[in-house]
Amino acid sequence: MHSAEEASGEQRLTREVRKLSRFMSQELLYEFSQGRLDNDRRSAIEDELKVNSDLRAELESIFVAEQYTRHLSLTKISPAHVSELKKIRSLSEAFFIKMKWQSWPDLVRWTFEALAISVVVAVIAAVLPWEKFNTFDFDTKPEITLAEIEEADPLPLDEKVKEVLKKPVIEKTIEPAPPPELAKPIEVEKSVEAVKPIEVAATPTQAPLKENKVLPLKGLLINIIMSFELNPEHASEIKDLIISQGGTKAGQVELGWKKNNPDGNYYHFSIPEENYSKLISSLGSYSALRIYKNPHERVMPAGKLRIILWIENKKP
Amino acid sequence: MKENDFSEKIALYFYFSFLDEAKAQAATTKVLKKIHQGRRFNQGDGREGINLIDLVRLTESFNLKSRRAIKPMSLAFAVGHIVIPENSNWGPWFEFRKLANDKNFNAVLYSKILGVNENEIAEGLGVPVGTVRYRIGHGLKLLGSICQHGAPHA
Repeated sequence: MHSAEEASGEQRLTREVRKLSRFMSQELLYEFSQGRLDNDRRSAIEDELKVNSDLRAELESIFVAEQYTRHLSLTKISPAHVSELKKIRSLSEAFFIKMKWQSWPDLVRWTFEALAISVVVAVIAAVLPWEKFNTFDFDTKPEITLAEIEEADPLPLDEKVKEVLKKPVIEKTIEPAPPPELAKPIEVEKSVEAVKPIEVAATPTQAPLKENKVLPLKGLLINIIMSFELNPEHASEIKDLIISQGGTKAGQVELGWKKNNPDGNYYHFSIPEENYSKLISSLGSYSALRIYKNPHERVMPAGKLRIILWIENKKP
Repeated sequence: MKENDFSEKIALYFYFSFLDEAKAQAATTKVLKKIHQGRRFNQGDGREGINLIDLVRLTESFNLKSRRAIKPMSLAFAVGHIVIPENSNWGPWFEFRKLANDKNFNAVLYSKILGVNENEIAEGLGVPVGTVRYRIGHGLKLLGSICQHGAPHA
């Protein structure tokens, strides 16, 4: 047993030294120069160096290079230059820095600010719905102007209407007609407020004005007003008379509509122009009548007249 | 690592690599700007200051992006910007820059000029330490050979 241990120990001690190949020696030369090899490898390379001149030259090169680099590594950059390097900017950076708002001259900045504010105010003024802000309405007057009419320039009238207006107002005495109850002739009262073109033109407010819209008064409306003791038979006769002269109902109510307050009958109708004189003559047999010719927005077809006849029931 | 020391090492790397002051300044400025941007981005994340591993990463990244393949043709340094040690001879380094493999050159530059630890180089480049040592060894052999015998004839 003892002899066996001795034999094995002797065997370990007498182990052959590992020999490195030339290639391995070259590759491990740097490690050798740095002293980082284990004892076996270091011994192997040392042995190789004794016999290999190329390897010695390589090792010498490594030492020379290390010495050389050690010297070069003393090279320094001046602190001032390091600071400069930190501050150096590329052309594009320098351009963007120059273009920064803070870099602009004061005058140019103020000009742009003023322009921007003006544009913003103008846009706000244009976009805001001012009509919705009633709080800014300073006009506290109760009057409302419906229409403004220039006196120098009267409202335009159709030529036909002008012709009708120029026609003489009924001034003649109408001969007694042959109605059954009223046998004596009736003198037609002269229409005091009779129609004068200028006066008519000066009464535009009778036209139905809606809101502020001014409607052109190119048509004509003839208002006839009568006043006498009116019974239902007379009302019916007058209605028939109108119909017999070609009159047709206009407006919303029936012909000869009975009204209570004021008491009377209302006839709104249109009639052929050629029958107008006959109708007037016939109506004159009942009572004196007043005729008003008023310009109106509604224009009647050619040869037609629109008439509103109001007969007030005169109590005895 | 202090910012000024780091900036100086970056500048040195490009001076030794480009051997041209204008190019070195442009590259240094670019990398330093990138560092500042990165710092702002990483502000408050608890990360420590810049170290030499970052230096390796940044310069390697710059080299990859710029695809620099042009070898220096002349040596150009302005007076005052770079403080060169007395009796220094830049000829061998210039030749070394032209002849050496980029990886070996950079390994020598990081390790022997800038004093970056081999482990930091390995981590920065993402390669094993053995690879870095191999590159340094080969680079030094070439540089030493140039120093001893001048540039080998092609």
